Amino acid sequence: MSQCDGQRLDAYLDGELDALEVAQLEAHLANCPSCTAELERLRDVFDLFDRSTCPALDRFAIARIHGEIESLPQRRRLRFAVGLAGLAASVLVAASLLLSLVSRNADAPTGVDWSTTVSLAIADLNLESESDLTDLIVEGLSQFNHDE
Amino acid sequence: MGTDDASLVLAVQSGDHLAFHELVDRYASDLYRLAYSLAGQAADAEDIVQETLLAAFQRIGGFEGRSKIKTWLVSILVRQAALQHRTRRRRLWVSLAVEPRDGTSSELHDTRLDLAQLLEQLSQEHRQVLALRHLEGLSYQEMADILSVPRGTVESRLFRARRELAKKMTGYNENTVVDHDNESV
Repeated sequence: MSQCDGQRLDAYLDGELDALEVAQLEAHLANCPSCTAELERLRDVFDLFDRSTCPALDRFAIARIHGEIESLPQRRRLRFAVGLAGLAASVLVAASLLLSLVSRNADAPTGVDWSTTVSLAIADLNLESESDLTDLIVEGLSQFNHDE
Repeated sequence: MGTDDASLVLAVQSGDHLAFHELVDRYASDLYRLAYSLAGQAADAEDIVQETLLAAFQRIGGFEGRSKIKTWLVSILVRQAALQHRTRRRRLWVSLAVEPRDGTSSELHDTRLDLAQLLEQLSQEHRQVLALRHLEGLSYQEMADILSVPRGTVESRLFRARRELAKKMTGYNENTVVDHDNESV
């Protein structure tokens, strides 16, 4: 390295240069008082951080964090239960809609034949299979678990 | 416990929330030190750490292990700190005391520098790169990943941040130099 490059000095002190780059920089520093002086000023900045102290996080604060984490699963379970109740209500509404769709079908059996009823409803709603319906329900459940 | 981070993360993801407590004990202090450098106040730093760990606990299911768990926690903390910085209007400063170096005869020897006060005069971006490099010891690439910027941006920000800090250090020393001749403090 023959030219002065301030960012190289930073990378040098940060240990981000490879062996060849270090050798080139050190060769440059041997002949460049300006970069050598700059390097010393940079070392003062590094030194400032090295000598700084910081108050420690006290054990009460850590205990509070543990407490908050402990309360989270309970809050999530409550939120899940509320969500599940809402989903159950939605499923009932959807089931009602399905029945109403089926009842409009002239070929629909008048007896309670749920297997056929559901199959016909699935056909009406263009769902390929019962598992698609299950997937919809599961997806809805996972949305209630997802925390933003 | 002696369990490595990866095993703890897997345990948490499998439903063992006690394993997350182990992660809290392991990293809360380091996170606090970083938060303190970004926020400058103990109460704010505590809030940032708490919010970081709670958010991490809620989202750890999505952690894929592409980075170290500590790096992931740091990335969340940096965002929490930035969010708090935008919403806070005023802050009261508690000094980050800097001990004088031994054997030096310059003004620095008799002056306790207020690092936090100096950092506060810098932009949030400059504070971030300085804290991540000097307090967390992260590499340029790790910092780039956390800050979602190119590596070159990290390098240039660090370059400017350090020069700016150096100027402010010079200004601080000129204003607080001890007058040895007159024995003032």
